[in-house]
Amino acid sequence: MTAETGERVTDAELAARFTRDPELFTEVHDRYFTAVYRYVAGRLGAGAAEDIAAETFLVAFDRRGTFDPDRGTLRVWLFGIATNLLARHRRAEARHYRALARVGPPGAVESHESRVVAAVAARGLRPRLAAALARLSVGERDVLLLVALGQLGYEEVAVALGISAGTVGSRLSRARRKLDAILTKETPDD
Amino acid sequence: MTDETDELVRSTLAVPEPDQEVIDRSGHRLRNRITNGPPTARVRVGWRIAGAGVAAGAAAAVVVIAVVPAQSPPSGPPAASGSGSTSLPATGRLMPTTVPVTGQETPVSGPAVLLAAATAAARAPATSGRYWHVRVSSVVDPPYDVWVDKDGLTWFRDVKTEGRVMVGGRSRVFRLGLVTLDYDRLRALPTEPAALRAVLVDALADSDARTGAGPLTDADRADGLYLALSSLLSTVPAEPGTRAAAFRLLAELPGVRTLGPVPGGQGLLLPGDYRLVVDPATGRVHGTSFIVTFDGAATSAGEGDTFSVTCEWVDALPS
Repeated sequence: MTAETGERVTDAELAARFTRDPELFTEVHDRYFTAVYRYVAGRLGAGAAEDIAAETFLVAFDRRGTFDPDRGTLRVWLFGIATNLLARHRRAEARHYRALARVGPPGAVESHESRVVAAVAARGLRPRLAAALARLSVGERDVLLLVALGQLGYEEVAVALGISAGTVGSRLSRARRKLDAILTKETPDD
Repeated sequence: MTDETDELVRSTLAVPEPDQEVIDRSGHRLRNRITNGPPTARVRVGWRIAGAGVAAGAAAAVVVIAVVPAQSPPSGPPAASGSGSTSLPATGRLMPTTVPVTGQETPVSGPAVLLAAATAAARAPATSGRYWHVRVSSVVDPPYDVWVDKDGLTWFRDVKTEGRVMVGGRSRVFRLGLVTLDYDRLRALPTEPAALRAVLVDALADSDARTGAGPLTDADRADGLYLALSSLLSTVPAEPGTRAAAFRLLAELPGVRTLGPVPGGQGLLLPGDYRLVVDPATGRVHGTSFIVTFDGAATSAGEGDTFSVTCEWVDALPS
């Protein structure tokens, strides 16, 4: 999604650089702000996302000494911090989903929807999906959205959340089962 | 099926790329942090109250206080506030408080604290005087004092006035966060929790306040109720019955968490990240994480911190 073109500096090199010179932490921001923002905005809406996305990088900077390139990438580390910050805004997040459930999403932002997704969207199931997201447990939602929005893999989600990969798998399948039930339901005839 | 599920989730929640201004603002905050280090007390750019045409000379309704680097000693003068020579009288009762985010044991539930405070607040005698005086201090900032009389004339004293009381702008309204009420409406607020809630929710719906991110969102308005209650209890001259109703309403609302005993009383965490220090024995609030002053300036304590606040009616300004 966020193609990291251009510089080929690895996270470990970047971490070594900002350890020597804190000013270079701005490179982390340049590289990952958009990805973090889109993850947070997906969960909270664009209005509230700006502050939390920005805060993610302030917290990351304050804790830069704790980043360990052997454990995971900067991207995973940042998504973990953002998810922690999001935990303080559970009510706002639930409100966001309920708002989407009422009015529906603003329209397809991505143009490359698959046929299935387009069909589901055409059947007007997105509001029900949004409502279902609001009903997931926090743990299920964190895992599902790190995968679906953040594009993290199982192992990466485990590192970001500090839980086992097994827990990631079971939460993810529970979350998907709940949402799949929405997709396979017949269109309500109202 | 799962790939489609993920894709559907993604496309349902997808937002456009952030505007360049959003990226720039964030980058700017980061560079400030890199330069200044983690703040021990921080003031966020807060609510910009539309139409807050008070404080004649004060152009902006948003106060930005010097960010104090963590390494400066808590008792020393803030780095950016000049000589810091104030001749404020030491009152001794204004101990700064810090509410730990991760409280240890929590012997009393949030509702129990609030209901006890409601009972005490209801019993408090109705007080009055010529000037409503609010004093705010924190671990790192010197105290500042504000007075307002019933005609809306204000006076203030802070580190910049070097201990002198100066005349401020005129403010005919009290600010409960995003809600503004004139003195008569403030004093006439309901003394029954549901009725109080209805008045505040209506006022929030009418509010033309804006945040740094633009017009109020639904989330802002929902958190605004907690902010209004927190302000009502901590900084404005509400009637005892109204204060009791505010405590009871907070006790009924979901999401109030107790942080356990802290200096000055019991720490409470409200949705929206507002913190209060409540003394259940007296029904007074000794600390709050968010202050909106008469001129519409909003300041927020750093994460986990509260401002120490005292307020009372007085009959004379300090000479």
